[in-house]
Amino acid sequence: MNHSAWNDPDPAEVFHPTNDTEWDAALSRYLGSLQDAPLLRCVQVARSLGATTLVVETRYIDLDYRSEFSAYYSKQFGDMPDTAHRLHFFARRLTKRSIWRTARSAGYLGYVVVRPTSTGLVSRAMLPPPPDLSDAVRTSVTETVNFFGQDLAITGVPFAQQDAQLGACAQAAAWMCHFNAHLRGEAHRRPKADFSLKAPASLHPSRSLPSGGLTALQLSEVFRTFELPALFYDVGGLPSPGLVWQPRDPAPIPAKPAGLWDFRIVAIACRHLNSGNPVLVGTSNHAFILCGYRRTNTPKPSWIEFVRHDDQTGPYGLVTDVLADVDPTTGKVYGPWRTMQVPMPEKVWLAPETAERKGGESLQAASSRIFATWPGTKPFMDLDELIALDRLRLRTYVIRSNAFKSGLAARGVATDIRRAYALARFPRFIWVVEAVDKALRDAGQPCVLGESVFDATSSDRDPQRLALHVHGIMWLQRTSGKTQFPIFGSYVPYSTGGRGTA
Amino acid sequence: MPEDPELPGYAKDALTSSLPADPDELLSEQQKSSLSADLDNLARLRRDAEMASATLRMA
Repeated sequence: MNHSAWNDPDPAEVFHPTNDTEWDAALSRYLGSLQDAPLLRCVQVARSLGATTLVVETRYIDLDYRSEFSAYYSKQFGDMPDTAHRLHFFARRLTKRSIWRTARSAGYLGYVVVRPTSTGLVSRAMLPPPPDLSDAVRTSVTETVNFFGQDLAITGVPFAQQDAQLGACAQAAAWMCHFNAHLRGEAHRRPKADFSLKAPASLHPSRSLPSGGLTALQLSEVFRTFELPALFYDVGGLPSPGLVWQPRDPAPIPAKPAGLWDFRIVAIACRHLNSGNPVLVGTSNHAFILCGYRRTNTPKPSWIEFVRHDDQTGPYGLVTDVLADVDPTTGKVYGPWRTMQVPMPEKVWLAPETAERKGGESLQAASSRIFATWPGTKPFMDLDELIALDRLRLRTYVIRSNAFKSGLAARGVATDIRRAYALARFPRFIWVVEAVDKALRDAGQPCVLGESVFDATSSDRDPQRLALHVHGIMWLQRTSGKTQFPIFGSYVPYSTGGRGTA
Repeated sequence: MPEDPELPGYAKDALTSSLPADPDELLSEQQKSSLSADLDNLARLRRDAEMASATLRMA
């Protein structure tokens, strides 16, 4: 990689590429590294969003690269610049003369910080999802970027590439999860090098530099130390709520890795993505994160495809089949998934599967009783009927209670129910288990029939239900120990409160 | 936003008198027992998984 005149021009260079050749020319000083794919994918994403202006901010002092420089590159024999470049993308034309004053009206499309290391160019990137995946991505966060004195907001899922020296894919994946949580206000900022330096070396059989990756225990310790203790899942031994009407657990296939048959991966990942939390996946030799999912009708109805940030291929890739994971664009074979780790706010102690086990049964029982005692003609179908028609689904997510309350009006929840929720004393985080009518969901209509709400600080063995609401009738647990009942709302379905479409 | 469909008073009275004030009473004793066993099982499964895979390597 060419480091000559790395800090020039001062302060920036502006390009207006219109075709592949001009884009290659604008990026020529970076191309030819040992691993270009992530940068090229970032540029592809920016171009899919309509980028017409590229501004290269030189001598950018990047917190993450500076931390790597201090920890590693400054100690190498060879010369290495101590600064990075920040590549900004805009939808509209921005000239060099006007970059200091008209950037806000130029349609900011995000940035890529490029470090001067041939083993891994993308220190970090923040780009919105490409248009064809914008509805699928569920873990987007917003960052405010200062661009030559102007604050620009950008929303997307943070991405990073390993430098293959101080950090490997595990550190890059952990950083992506953590920076996401930082931008949600749930953890302090941690520079990239800390994801290697703070991993306990005694939990790894080899030397820590150059990094050969992290063990699951090291990764858990890093997350714990960085205020985001991670839920750990072992593929093959995954928990499922086990409600009688839900799909039965898969039978293990002898001599086959669990990642080839354990379809419970899908439900578990969706619960966390519904919550806006990325999921870190480990295979036998790689780690990446999931940042969204979508339903398709190929190869069969309601098939789930995931969206992946892979530090070796770039942001927003597609996982078309979790049990036969091959990138549909590059043909890269990922192999069976072995683990999933989900960094969570510290006091989300209750696991989603236990909340769903209790919440699903409560909703069904309440629906049956309401249906049996409803006077006159029923204006709705009860959950038993929906189960018989294979139309009932549960949607489970964790959410800040304040966000849950403030989102109710836009979701179409009845006034008296909203009032009861608004005035209720709730912990900071709650698990919500929604009863969803699949037919309404597939038709794109409001599809939530009710929800059971749980205290996220309660025990897996005794999940504490805070509210139960279905068909417009609600029970609300008061902190006095009494239950407020009845609260009447409306049997009319409303929209989901989880991230993305139901 | 459209008005919430309002239940007539007699309907509210019927529902209030027929439904338990404590939502735990919506489940039968057998359902409660089964729920408790399932929650124990889920908690044990989580603990076992966390202990079994501590040394797995991720590149």
